Amino acid sequence: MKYELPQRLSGIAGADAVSADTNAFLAAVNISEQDRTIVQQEAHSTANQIRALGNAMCDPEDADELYGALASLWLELRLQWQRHNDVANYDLMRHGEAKPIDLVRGSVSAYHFQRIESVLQPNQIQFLNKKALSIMESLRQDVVSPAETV
Amino acid sequence: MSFVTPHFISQIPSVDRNAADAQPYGVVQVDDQGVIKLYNKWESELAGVPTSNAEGSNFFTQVAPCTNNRLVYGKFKDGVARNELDFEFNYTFTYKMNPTNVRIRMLRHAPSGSNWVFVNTRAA
Repeated sequence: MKYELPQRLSGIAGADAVSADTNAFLAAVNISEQDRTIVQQEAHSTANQIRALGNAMCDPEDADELYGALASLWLELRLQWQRHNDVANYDLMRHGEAKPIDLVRGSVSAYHFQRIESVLQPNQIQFLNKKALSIMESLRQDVVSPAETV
Repeated sequence: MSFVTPHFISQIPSVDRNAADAQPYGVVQVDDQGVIKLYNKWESELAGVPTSNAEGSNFFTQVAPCTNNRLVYGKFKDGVARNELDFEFNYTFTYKMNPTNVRIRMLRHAPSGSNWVFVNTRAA
């Protein structure tokens, strides 16, 4: 079986597609030019990281390592998305508005881990989702405000 | 004024799939743990989640993970525990979609013990 994963990663994290898709997210909000540039840079940085994994682990014997690294990156992006989501919605609840940059960062994080999912099997995606939920639940229970442990 | 009309509320708990699909906003019935029992067409199209995939899954942790926090899921759990919930608020979805401004109403229909999540889009 041909080892195509590195090439597929280059495909899903291609610079032109990332620019275009990020611009679509940016078009949904009213955002400053400065923040627009920041978001585009961050989106491309993440895409570079995805491609770098494939470039680094490009031999067939690297396959398991690459899948493991992709799973870790997926988790990183999933937790990042959760953070952006919560910041945006807590701001919205408290102050009546969410910062546009937080909203777009959320969409971009989800975009990247969704792109990673496109090279995974359904059972792998299901496992990753369960793992992310489990980690977040246990962190919410085990890492609490000191006042709550008195 | 809520986007969910009093007339629709008065039909709970006999709202069936046809009635839910006829609404111009998301209609989701969940059990006390948040597992989806009914997921209407509007919500399916907004979220990009087929109804068949959504029903049987947890709304807050699996289908709409944007809501998996104290603001929404926490409030839902509190409301179920108190057998009292009717909360409408602005929210934003960014999970696998453009930033999308929505208004959400969570309702516990105490006489039937049924729980409902309604979702509508809103201007910024």
